[in-house]
Amino acid sequence: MRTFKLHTGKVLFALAVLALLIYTIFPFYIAIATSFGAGSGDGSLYLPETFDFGNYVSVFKEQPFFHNILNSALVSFATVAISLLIAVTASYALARVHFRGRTTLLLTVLGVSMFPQVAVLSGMFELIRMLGLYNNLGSLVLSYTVFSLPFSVWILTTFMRGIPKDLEEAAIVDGATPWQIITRIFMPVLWPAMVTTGLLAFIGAWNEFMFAITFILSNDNRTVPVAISMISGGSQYEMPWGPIMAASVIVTVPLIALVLIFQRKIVEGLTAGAVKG
Amino acid sequence: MDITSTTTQGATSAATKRSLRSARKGGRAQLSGLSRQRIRTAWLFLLPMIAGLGFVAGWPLLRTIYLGFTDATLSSIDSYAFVGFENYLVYDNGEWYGLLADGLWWQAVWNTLYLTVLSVSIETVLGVLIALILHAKFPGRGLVRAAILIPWAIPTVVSAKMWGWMLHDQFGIINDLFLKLHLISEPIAWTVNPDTVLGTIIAVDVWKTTPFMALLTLAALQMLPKDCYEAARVDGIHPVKVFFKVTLPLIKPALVVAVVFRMLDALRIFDLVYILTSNSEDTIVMSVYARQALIDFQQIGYGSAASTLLFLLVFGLTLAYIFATRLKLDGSGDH
Amino acid sequence: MSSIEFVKIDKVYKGLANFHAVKGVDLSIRDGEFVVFVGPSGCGKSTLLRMIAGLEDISGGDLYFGAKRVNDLTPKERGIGMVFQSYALYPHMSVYENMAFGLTLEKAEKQTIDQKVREVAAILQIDHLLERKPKELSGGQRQRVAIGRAIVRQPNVFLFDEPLSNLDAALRVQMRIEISKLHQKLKTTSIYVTHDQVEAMTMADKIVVLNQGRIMQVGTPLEIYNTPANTFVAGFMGSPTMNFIKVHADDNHLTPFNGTDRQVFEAPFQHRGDATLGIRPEHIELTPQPGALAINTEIAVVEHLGNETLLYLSTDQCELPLVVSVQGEQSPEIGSSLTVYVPPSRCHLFDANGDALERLDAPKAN
Repeated sequence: MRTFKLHTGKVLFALAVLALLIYTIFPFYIAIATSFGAGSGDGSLYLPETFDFGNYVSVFKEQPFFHNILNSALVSFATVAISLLIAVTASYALARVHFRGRTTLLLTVLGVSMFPQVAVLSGMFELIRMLGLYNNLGSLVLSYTVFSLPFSVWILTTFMRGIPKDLEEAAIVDGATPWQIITRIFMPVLWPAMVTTGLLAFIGAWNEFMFAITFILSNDNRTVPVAISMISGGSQYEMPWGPIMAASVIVTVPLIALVLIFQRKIVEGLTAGAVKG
Repeated sequence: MDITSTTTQGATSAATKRSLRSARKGGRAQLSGLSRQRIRTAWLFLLPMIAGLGFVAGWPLLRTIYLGFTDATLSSIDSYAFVGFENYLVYDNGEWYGLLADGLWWQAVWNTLYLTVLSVSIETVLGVLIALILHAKFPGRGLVRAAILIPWAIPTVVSAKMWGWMLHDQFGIINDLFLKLHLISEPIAWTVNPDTVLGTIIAVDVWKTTPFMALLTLAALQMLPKDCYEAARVDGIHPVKVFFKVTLPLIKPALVVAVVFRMLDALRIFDLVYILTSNSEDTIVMSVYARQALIDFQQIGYGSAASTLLFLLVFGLTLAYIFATRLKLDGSGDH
Repeated sequence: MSSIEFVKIDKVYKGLANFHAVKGVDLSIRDGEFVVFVGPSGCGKSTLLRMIAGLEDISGGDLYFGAKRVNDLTPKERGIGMVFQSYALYPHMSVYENMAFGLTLEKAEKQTIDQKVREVAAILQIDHLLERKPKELSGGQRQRVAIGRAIVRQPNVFLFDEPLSNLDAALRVQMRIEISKLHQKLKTTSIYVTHDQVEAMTMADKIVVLNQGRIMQVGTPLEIYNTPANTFVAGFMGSPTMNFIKVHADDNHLTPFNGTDRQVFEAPFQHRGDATLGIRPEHIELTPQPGALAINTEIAVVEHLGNETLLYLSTDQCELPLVVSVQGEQSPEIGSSLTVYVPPSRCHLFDANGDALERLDAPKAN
């Protein structure tokens, strides 16, 4: 009786895990299947009959999609580089130095990360026109950096607090300046946290949509999310789902690869940002 | 440093004199040059961040709030007049005009709140359940944990498109599956039908954001002390009761943080709604409404007013949260 | 190298209630001296050390290295080397890089750096570990690297912040001896913070006993042991701790305050009023002594330490059990009565404030 109960428990648990896996993975599987030709014409919705790369070819042929990917990569890397550089010095100050107004400043930074993008849209639009960055990738780097900076600072501050005080003081005794402490001691020690933070910033920038669709006008300058949203067929009712799914797979696979590789680090970063806060 | 040849006594008397002088000058305890120098460096290090945030976030925010009181349009963004609260509410010719008199705005507010509350509630319950599953030890746990990150990593635009395709009225697999399972009798245009569209958006949002919730909850679960579980097991308490009496109260603080984060995020939802149901009035949310006014209708003033209201909502909620929980930012408490 | 002079040094941590961690410390440390700060936790010894290092602001008073006021100098400008309790080795650097870090920052020449690092590594016998990372080292090896890193820049002052407390007992003794040897060789002014009185007694040229931010006594180890300045020092230094018996003093006649058997005895002090008599466990005798105070006790607990035996004796003349240390192995029966003798020549007497009263005869030098 008891073993029976135990077995049912195990089976139910396995079923729950299976359901969970299907729930999370199945939609992306469908996207892949569609990109290879499933669901077009009379074929099965679930399985492509042949591996047809036609949709992939058409994405690059009919759109400046290669350009779009390049744009996205450029914007994302620039965002990551700039926000990490600014965040690492700022979080050193916030985590390791006692000064008046530190808590207020941290709260303000946290507040900015909660801004709805649309709340700064008109002001930002003005600013970007003023700087002559309209329809320029610079506008995206600028706006993404501002939105990735707060959580980068937040996460790095949490990690920097975890560095033992002795380590910093040993460096001070050795004659290191604050800048040297950051670059020679803290950054090497914190590189996993830097990777995590950078990754989160990268994903944020790679996926952003509202600023990208607002500040960029021409096809050639668009980033991939906008490009995908703009793939359309002959009429409103004839969406070219195959190419859309192909494009989606192309932009998502690198992200998924990153996430799978750095799974543990990402979770650490997310929890450092939220739970410990 | 010099090798001391002076007698100790000589040094003492000189030192005493100097100390008297400095005592007269300084009086009370003060920060020495070292701390001051350190604090100065700290501000120098903070400068790029403060300047960046101030210039690219703070200033635009102030401009948005200001523009909300003007009649600026996209075509004449440089010349506008101050119109007071007219964008918000104005009485003209026996009629009320402005944001607060617009039924669609209130529809957007209602949709946003409805979506936020429902989506966050469902994903909290679901997230906790998933976290409990992942907290158990089983072969392949690492893989499953990685797999649930996939929906989170997929760009919102992509997941919107993906689900748009799956929810397609003719070729979508959702209709196909539901028909085969006899859950529905005829295909449903999920993203068009007013009865289903909001629910559909919630379902997709839940799919995408539950991983975040699950992972944060899992992290909280993994930090729990093991001994109280062993004590509960020794006492033979039913696992469900243990969950509600022991686990839930212990992970509550972490859960509250996650819920607040997600709520603030859900309030500004844009991409998903915009792509899945682009211009449908049934699903309009505050961000979509504001952006539509700003860009599509080119009414910068009016759109800014709408943006300002959304900002105030988020800001208010954040403040309420901070004060309610007296968020502990650092153990030392420097004031 | 340098002498160090403290003049009315204060440390106040500001907060809701200002915490006065160090109160008006005056102290002179001679060039080349090995000074140990000892005291219970929270006594201000680490704060004092960190103020010398320049890691902690000095709230009031002046600190001199030689004739130079260093209050506002950075640790680097003060020319100190410091060994931390947690070693604080840079985890991403090899032993070599750890030791060379300070010199690299000074932009010293590669050759000079290499020579100095190898020289110091040889002294500390860690030359075979230079390429390893800290995590590949044992506790004792890490400790050596930490010391090496501090030595390599030839500091004026060498600071140790409880450097041995993370080591196991055997290693602690070994490192203690090595640090002493190193000091004899380098003769750098050294300040060593510990809560371990054995370290203090064995290593110091001069011990500074601290309590609640104040200096309780400064002296050589034997001075501290033989003539403790007050009941705090008397009780803190020495293991097992000194026995205290409340007495009434009438010139050189002392009468135990409590108990039924109030025997008057003579001791070489000049005092009138209430006082505390102190006697170390190792100075109480089991055989009758001329002029000694005899105390009738009952054996409560016996502790065998091998080389000595500790007897805990209950008596109505003092509140805590009287502790007596006896050489070798003894197995007296618990509960049996025992008369012990307190020789006046070994007595300490403290006034009502706890300050030591001077002996009228010169203290025996041993």
